[in-house]
Amino acid sequence: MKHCDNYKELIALYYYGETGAEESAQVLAHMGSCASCRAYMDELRQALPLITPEVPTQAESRRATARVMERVVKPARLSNWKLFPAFAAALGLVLLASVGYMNRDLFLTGKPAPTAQVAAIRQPAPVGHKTAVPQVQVAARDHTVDVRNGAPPAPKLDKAQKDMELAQNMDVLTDLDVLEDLDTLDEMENL
Amino acid sequence: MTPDERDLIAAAVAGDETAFGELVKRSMPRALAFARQMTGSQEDAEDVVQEAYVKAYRSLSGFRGDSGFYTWFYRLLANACLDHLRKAAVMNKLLFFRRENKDEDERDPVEDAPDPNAGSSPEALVMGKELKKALNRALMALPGRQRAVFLLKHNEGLKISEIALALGISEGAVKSHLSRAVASLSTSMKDYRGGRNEALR
Repeated sequence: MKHCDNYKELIALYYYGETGAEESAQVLAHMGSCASCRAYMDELRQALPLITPEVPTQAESRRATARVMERVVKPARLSNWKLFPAFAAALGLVLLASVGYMNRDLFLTGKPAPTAQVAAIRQPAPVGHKTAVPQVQVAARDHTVDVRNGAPPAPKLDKAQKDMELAQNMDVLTDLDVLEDLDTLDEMENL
Repeated sequence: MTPDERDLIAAAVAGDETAFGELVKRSMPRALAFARQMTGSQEDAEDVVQEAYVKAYRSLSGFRGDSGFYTWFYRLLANACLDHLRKAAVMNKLLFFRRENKDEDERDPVEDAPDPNAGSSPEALVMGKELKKALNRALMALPGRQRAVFLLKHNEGLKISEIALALGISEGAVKSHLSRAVASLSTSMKDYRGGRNEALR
């Protein structure tokens, strides 16, 4: 029987036309004298043709092609991370604009506005300023709100950030798992 | 490779998106069919195929055009499928409770496939369908690399040497994977027949 196990690989290769002339002759000679290997070949001839590719419909193929081309031609649909530089630039502009407003405040009133922007965020501006140039103050406050939202490390991580961190850790875990555990497992199964 | 395909490849390598689109369009049915049998799900197949094509587009400059587009693309596709299977296995291990009802939700590709026995007696039809189902289950139960080797040979008709190149393994390993896959499938057919005969008795 052990003898036939060696032939099984050759028989599979013979079935797919992957044996050379010499090997083919060996297989045929062996099958001539071995009923079990002949039966094996018969089984392959019956079973294997039943496994056929599941051809997708034209609509499925068209849709999948369109999805690929959408990604290839218009890489505009960027992920949040890729948008980060653009976001940072926009934030910079907002900062500049609000500093500009502060200076304008200084020009108009002759008095310096509360020096740092952070102060502007935390405390309402002095009443005198408000009455003198209400429009400007409102605008400045609007901008400082943006600054606060985009400002780097807030003392508490918000929920979205925590989730993102968790997801990233998960990725690391997955990769390690693949490297250390699963490859060996896969190899063992395949041997 | 047809001269037409050679032109398309050259144009795509030179940055012509329309030419690349034509190559994608032509190879998509085979790619989807392969990925569907590798992943066992239409949805996963579409995702994997998409990733593989996007990767192909990015690495087009490394394609010298000495083989057909699809032969070159197999490498990316087969490896994308294997990566997907590994990740899915890990996720199932981590979130083992998540996919309990997967079989019920998934549409069964065997049921949807056109029946080659159409027109024969109803009994033979049912039997053929059930046997196909049993074989498909056995195919899905093969380890990923065995399944990839088997499909590349059986459905795609690649040579042993081409499969070795596509999967980055030795020709000896390809032969051994192929022979094991074939043996498992033949055993499952025998088991199915055996079970049927038992039931009839």
